[in-house]
Amino acid sequence: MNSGAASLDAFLHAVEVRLPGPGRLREEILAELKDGLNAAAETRERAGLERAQAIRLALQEFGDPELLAASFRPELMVARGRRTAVTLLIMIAIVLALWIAAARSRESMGMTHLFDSPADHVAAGLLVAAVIALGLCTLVTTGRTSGRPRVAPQRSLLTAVAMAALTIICDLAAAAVLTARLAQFPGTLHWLLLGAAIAGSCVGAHVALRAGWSCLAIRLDRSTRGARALGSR
Amino acid sequence: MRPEVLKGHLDSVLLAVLEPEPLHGYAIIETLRTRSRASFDLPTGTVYPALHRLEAGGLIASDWSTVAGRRRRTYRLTDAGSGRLQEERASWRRFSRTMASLLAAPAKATP
Repeated sequence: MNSGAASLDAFLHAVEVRLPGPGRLREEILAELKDGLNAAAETRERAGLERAQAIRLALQEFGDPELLAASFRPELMVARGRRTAVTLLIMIAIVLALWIAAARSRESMGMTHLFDSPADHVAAGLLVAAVIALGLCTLVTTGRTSGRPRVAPQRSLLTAVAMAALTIICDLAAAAVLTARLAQFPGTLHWLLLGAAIAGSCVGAHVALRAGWSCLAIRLDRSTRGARALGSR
Repeated sequence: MRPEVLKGHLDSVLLAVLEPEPLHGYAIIETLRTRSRASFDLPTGTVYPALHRLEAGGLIASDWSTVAGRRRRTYRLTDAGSGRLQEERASWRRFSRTMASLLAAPAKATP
């Protein structure tokens, strides 16, 4: 590989490591930048420059990789927030179906309800409703109109983080209640459905933790390294 | 001319550049440079995110193809983008006429 191509790859790598967010969007940005850099170099080659010098000038034109990566950060933040909301909404729907199936199986066996207290129903209902409301709020606020985002990208990330935190609370609380019931009445429960509901809750909490953490990491990065990059303009 | 001068007008300028034909990202930057007679030399980090924002808003659309062994994204104006460009043109003409009359040098009073 010649030095021109190597420096072009090094530049793209320097941008790539500073791009947070969903992989497909990141790949598209990098592919577009690579094509742009090559097109800029080819323009200079047509003007009579050597390839290596043409690439050097093209890289100069594209500027500091950190600043370039920072310019894509808002759209990546919005994409991450939106993806987190969709993932968690699907996840909460699956886990909710498992909880209901477990509760109904107990009822059909002529036993008392799995969640005995009406307060349990209210608390669970409110938590799930809050998660769904936050998810819908994230989807609506990250929807775009007239070519401009409706809210600041950082705010959409925070909504997604709040949604993830509530999802974790829901899942862990449900897993704890279900496990306690399983221990309390080991022989009278439909253990397969209950086990599936407990496993679903744990997987849901894990997915929410990962998704929430990735949003938080981008948000924190935005207030430290990203802010430094933007501040140095 | 500094890029900040274009603030608030970048979207309209990009739509106007794409009006005659579809172009890829760097060709848009070059066309901007040529049509402004090198007055507007926008940083790459300004143009690409603006194109993505316009696409998300439905004002332009993009297609991927392979050219010389590498992936290329080409942007084109949508009907909504074309409509927006006409609105922006009309608005700019009104603004331009108003500013021209406001900034015009006062006629000297004849003795």
